[in-house]
Amino acid sequence: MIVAIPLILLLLFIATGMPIAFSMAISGAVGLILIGGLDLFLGIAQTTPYENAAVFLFTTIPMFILMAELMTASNMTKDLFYASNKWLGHLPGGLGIATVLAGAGLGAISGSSTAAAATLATSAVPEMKKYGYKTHFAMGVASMSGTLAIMIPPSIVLILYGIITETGVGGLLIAGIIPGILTALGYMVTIYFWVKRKPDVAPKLVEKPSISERFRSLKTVWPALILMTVVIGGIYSGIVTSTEAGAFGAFATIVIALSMRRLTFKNTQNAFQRTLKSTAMIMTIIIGAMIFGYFLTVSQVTQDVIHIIVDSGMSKWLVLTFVVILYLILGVFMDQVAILILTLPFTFPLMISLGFNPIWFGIIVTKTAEIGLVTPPVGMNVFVASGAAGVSTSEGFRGVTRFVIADLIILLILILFPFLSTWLPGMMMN
Amino acid sequence: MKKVIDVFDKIDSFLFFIAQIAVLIMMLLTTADAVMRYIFSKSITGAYFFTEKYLMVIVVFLSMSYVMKMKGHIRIDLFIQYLPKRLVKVMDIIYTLLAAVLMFVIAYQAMFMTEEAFVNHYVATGLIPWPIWLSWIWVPIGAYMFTLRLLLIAFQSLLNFNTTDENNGQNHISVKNE
Amino acid sequence: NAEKTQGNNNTKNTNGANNDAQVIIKIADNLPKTHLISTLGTLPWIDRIEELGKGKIKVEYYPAEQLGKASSLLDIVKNKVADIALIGPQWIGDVMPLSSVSGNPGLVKDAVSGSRAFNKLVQEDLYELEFKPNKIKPLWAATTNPYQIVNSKHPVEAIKDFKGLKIRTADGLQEKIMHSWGVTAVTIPGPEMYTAWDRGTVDGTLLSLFSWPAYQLDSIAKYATVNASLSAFGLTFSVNEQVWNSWPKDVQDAVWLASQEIVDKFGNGVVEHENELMKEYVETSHVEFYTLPEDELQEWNNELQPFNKKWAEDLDAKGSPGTKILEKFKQYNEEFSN
Ligand code: NA
Ligand code: NA
Repeated sequence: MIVAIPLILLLLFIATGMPIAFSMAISGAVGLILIGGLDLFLGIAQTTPYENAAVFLFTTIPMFILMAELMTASNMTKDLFYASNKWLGHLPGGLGIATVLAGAGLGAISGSSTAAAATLATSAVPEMKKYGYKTHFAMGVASMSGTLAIMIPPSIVLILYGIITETGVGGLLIAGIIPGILTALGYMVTIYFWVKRKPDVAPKLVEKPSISERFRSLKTVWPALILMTVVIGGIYSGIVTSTEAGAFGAFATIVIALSMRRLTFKNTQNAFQRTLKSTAMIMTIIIGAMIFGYFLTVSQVTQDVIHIIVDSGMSKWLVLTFVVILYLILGVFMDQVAILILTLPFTFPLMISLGFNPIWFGIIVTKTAEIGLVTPPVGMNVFVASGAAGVSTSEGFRGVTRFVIADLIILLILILFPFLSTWLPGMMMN
Repeated sequence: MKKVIDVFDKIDSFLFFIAQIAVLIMMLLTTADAVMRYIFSKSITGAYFFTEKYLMVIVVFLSMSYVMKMKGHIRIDLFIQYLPKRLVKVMDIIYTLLAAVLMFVIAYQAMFMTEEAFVNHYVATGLIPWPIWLSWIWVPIGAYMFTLRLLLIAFQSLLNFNTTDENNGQNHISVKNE
Repeated sequence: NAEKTQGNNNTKNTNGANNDAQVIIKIADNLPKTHLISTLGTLPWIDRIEELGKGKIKVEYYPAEQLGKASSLLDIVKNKVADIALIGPQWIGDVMPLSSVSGNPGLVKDAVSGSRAFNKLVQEDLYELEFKPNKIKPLWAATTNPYQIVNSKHPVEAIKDFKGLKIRTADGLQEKIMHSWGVTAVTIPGPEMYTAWDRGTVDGTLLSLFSWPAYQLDSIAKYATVNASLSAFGLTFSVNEQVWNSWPKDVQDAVWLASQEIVDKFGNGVVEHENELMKEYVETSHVEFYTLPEDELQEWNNELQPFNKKWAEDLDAKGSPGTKILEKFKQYNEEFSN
């Protein structure tokens, strides 16, 4: 099996410390050369890096990260977490819960999980650590909360699903709301029980602050609140598209911070440099993942597996089980967008012919994509969060384990109760 | 040798500076375009093309090499702590060289695309005839810089092979003269 | 010979020695399999190739950007990543400016005559100019029905009604036309069009009915013309010339026959399908479809002529036969629409 060689190489490279982007690109290159000769690889190497950088949709990555870096540089993040701690700090894992809420809020602005994870890691992880939370706990919360961005509208994954399958984008986006809220609640419950059982991962405020102390803490959060209002208002009033929102938000941050005299030339330039550091890291991984994705496409291994499932004539629930497992496995290796492009032309007609609801299937696929974003070895959100927070990846992966279990349970719930996905769009579209 | 490295680092940080300017322009241009469109019903001609085809490419490719110097390219550090130090060092050098080969291929191939666009005078078809080679050229520049950076790192790891490595784990490839 | 082996290397041969004469053809495009270009063109064409190949040809189809985005499909064929790809000259107007003539307004009457005319133009006039130099050979070419103005603000009946609208444009020429008619020409990525329109970031777009399902315009559009001729989309399926030369004669014949058959089938399919879509949308959606009166239509077409002239003269000035290609395409369209 020629196909196995690049897969084994990928695992070997990643496990022995080759940077992720190179692990994917080089094992993908080996696969392409084995299957189609050197010419095939040279052809892919010529177009892939450029065509995956020159993408307007990807401007969300530097722009949202810049917004987060500027918020941090001007102490807005710090103030926000100070207030959150006053209000939620007495709860088990209170700041973790605040971060999940922030992730849901960010999810309503941004359609890209990668950008959201980097944003949260930059801002929330250092703050949580400062209040005494364990690194892996903070990393887990930030990586997971970032995934909310692809379920809560707007969502690049759901829009892409809609375009590829011609399922109503409006309905799909609305369909993401309940599963998105459910997921956020699931993360909060996970945090609660985790901290209950292992109190050392998250400190608790010894004394519940008084009501007046709590309200006093709010005095410092208005810049961040104005910023959120401006950006969310900008999107929902149609001033900016969700791709442009990051740039708009970064600009608004600069305006607010300058008016408060909170930015110096030095810390602003520092924010730009850190933005580039995260962006280059993420974009290099995306390019590597695309090269590896082309190998998987050309090898036809995914198509072959799907054909085996189609031809087997098994019951529809068994087929669904296999398809979901396939998505979870692909999520282990590949970028989410690449997975959708590769598989939907095969899986979508199959699922529809078996009588499954197209909107519901979109939500299931998105949920598996969320899970794939944090599972090793290729867990984009964990890489991004680790890179942005300057923390080792093993701390990141250690932190997500419990959440992945929660996510699998939520996935099962979404599969068993399709109305969670279809009820709201049915109501609102009529 | 040290002089060569210094010159290289200067060029690299200059390119990184251009990338920072590109991020700044991206923020200003995108915001201005949206605000103009909303308030005056006028978009900025060419803003989209310029952002997508020039700024994004600059941001990605002119920062790659410098970010390698900042040890910004993420790796999984879970298992290497259990491997013998010398083995890890050997593998690192091999991996760095493999990556250099990959980046060289990318740079070399992109150079042809740049040349083709330049020789044939390819321009965008919209209101502004943006030259296409100016969109492509950042790929070979950035990828060649990255290739050199990787070779430099491999070379330095070879030189320092027998000195004890103080920082293992995530950042064990490092440029010593920082 | 070296060229032949290269071509063969590139096609994966999974069968054993007893069937080594089988030719595997890799076809790539950027569209989802459900897109109408696929269901009315690509897929029936592929089936026909395999049918005519009588077991000797196996097609591996890579839809939906699986091997690359729209703008890189030409390079993908040049580099033999795929043997054949959907190449839309308007997507790569910088590399194939003359072949982008299909996007010029007022020329294509409908998909049937437009496809015949464009196919003839591509095979007889454009091949030497823009395909051969890129080492590709066009197999077949076609166009959509002409684009209409679709929006959710007000019916556009005269050119002055365009003023003040925010219209999403998809290529340079559309941008120029809209700009000069007082429109805010907005470029937004395809995936964002629906949400952007929904929130009023844009008011409408130029599109033929054919593409409505992909963007689900029936749920956001309010007004659409039915007989304007603002632009059209031209597509070609082209093969790497070296790969083509490496194929045995009978394989070439099968591919060629299937290609020439699909031109009319596609054009007719588009017209029929748009008629059905129209009926469906009139019943199920709130979109008002309206016809421009004959004199107004004439006025639009007169206003559009200078853009074509400018387009042609700009190319002439660069040493490309812009005027000649424009005239030929006009002539072929008239020839086939009678
Ligand atoms: Na979102
Ligand atoms: Na994963």
